[in-house]
Amino acid sequence: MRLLLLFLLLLAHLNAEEIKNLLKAYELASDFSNKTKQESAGNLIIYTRDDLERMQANTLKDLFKSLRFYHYIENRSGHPDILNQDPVMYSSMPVRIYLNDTELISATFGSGTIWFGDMELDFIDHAEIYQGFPSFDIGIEPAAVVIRLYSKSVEHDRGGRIRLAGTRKKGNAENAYYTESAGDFSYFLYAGRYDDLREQHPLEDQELSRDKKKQSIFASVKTENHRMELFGLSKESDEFLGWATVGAPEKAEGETDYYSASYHGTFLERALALNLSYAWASSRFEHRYAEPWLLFLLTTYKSMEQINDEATLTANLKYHWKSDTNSLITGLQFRRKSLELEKFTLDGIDRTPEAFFDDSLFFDRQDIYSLYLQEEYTPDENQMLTFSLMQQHYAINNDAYEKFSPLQLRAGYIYTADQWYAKTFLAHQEFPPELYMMMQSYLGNPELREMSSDAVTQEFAYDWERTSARLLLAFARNKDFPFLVGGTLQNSGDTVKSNSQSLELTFRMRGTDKIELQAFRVDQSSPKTGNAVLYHGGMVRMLNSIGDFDFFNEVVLRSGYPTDSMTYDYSAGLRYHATDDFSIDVKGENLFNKGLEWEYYYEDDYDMPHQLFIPTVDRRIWVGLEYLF
Amino acid sequence: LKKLLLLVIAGIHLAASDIELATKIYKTIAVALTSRTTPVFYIHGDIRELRDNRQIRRTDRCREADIVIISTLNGLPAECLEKPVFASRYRIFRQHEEIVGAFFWQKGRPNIIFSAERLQQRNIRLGSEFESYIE
Repeated sequence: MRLLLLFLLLLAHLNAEEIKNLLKAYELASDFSNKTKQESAGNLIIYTRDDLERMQANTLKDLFKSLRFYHYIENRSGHPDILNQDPVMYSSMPVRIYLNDTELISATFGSGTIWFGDMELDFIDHAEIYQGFPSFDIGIEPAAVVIRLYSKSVEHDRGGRIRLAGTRKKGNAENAYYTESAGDFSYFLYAGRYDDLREQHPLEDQELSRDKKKQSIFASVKTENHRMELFGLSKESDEFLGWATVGAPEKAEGETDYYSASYHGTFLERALALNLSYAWASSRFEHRYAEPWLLFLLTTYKSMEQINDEATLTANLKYHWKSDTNSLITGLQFRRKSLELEKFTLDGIDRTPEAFFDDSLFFDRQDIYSLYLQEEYTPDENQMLTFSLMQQHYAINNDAYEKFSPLQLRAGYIYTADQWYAKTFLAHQEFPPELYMMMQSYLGNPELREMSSDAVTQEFAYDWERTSARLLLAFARNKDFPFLVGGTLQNSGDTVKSNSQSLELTFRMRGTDKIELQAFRVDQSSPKTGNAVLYHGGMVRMLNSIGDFDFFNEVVLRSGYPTDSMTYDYSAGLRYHATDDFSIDVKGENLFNKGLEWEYYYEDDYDMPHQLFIPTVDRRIWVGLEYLF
Repeated sequence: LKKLLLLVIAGIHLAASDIELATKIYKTIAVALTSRTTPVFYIHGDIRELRDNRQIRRTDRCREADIVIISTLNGLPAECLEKPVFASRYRIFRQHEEIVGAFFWQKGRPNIIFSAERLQQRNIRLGSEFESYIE
């Protein structure tokens, strides 16, 4: 980036387009990702405003599908589940999503990825993805992947935008935002709707559908040191195969309403930061099958209906001391998750805890207390040592059930030279089970232990004038890995190991044009069998502009996900800037329909197991219009 | 700490770069509007890029300035209007006919705009490099 800026600055001295080049260099240097990214916080991937716009990244799915070591995957209910391991269980608890300083969270599932893994990005300025356990000012719940999304703001987007987009029979999206300021005060308002109509897949005499209809809002008001935000999502979805494995459902529908309010304030010349947030969600689903399935207690059922209300209150206070060689952060966080199982029926029979006097079916409160400390020591201009420690206490229903006191540790060493850097991180994390993993109403196990994870990552990066290279090596060892056995979650007795390597190259060409190459390999042992599972992946992405046209080309390769055959998802986009205020865009996703297909399992009427392979990204061509005012 | 700051303390180096570039743009505009090689600035209102900026020559008195840069019209001394006045916000440029141009963010990108009529009223002729920014 720095070299690119210097190049653009150099151009500014040399040719007649001085002002234009200067403005472009200023635009790039002003990208908010330069101010929010924290290289010392972990192994970081940045999508700048320019990247997101030229990639036409309309949803988070567009970023997940090319993410090194991972892919975009949905579970059998059609919910985003990036770490999907099991045909039934939700697995993406360690993937955490933040909108500015507020986590988009599910009290039940821990991570909000289940609701927000495919959220729209139209009001997002830039995104940062931290792989591995990041530092505590990025997020304090233990995590394997942290996605930080930063909303647009008045500083760069004064005025408004309307966007309309659609595909032939397969969805449409409309959204608008407006932002303005008066003195020190500014506001940002966004509203959008998205009909995500997917390809249907025949099974038995039914059509499996993953359609979603979503409406979302975001509002932010801020002054220099204080910011308040509101975020809302209302979603109706067809839930594909549903939870049971007995073939096509006669009915599988769900609804989710999510609203959050948050406050972020800084005091004492920004040394003291306070974050308060309250998120409320209500989710409902109804799954009904022609064939009965065995759920638990050796009883079979044909239908399940649930309405679950939940709330998460989070208060985080942190203080930052700085000196020439030290940066010390200490913080406290309290989080309360509250659940209310409004309705839970099997074949229409009430199965709420009240009906069965069995509290282990459902917990209604979890309190998490966290105390953390993080030190960054810079002995000289080339080196940094970082150390983080967090002690937590998880209490369920006032310690009436299993309680956990996980210890999170992280240490790192960074060496920087003129053209290269090396980053080494060691992390020990303990993942207490999320509430749904312990509740019998979700196939959970109240006796489940916390999973511990030890990881080491080594990253090398080298910058030439027009090329940069990055090598990432990661090793992780997980003990007590949770997985489903016979309808109940159990801790694996084996140590689950993963060994990952990634090589990335970026070639910068004329102006801001660039080609990105990525190749990675993951060697992981299966929690069920202990056998090694090998994944390969790669990506080629080209972003370039000619005159008023922006071009985007991307090929995402995957092998071993979940079969050994190589898949490739080719996507391409074109945007024409008709005027400064009006643009037209076309984007094709998975154009050859050869992208990754995920494996789903079901049993037929004779209890014979079958597999279904369904594309994770549909083949679609979007046409969009954007008007700025 | 210079090298490490680039990597570690988020964006400090590049944040400096964006201020340097913004300063260079303001200076280029000021030179074009005043025909002086090192024009003296009078800053009215809070303009983040020019706040405590030592790369420009500045004065606290309008009458000593070659150019006036404003982010608000509130409290602007009347004598400032005798100088070329340039805004950091588009809306202010639209509101007041004495303002010859603006450098502002809108739609996710920085923009420059000049009013041909207002430049003409002040007998200011800009170089050809600004031609596409004059309306």
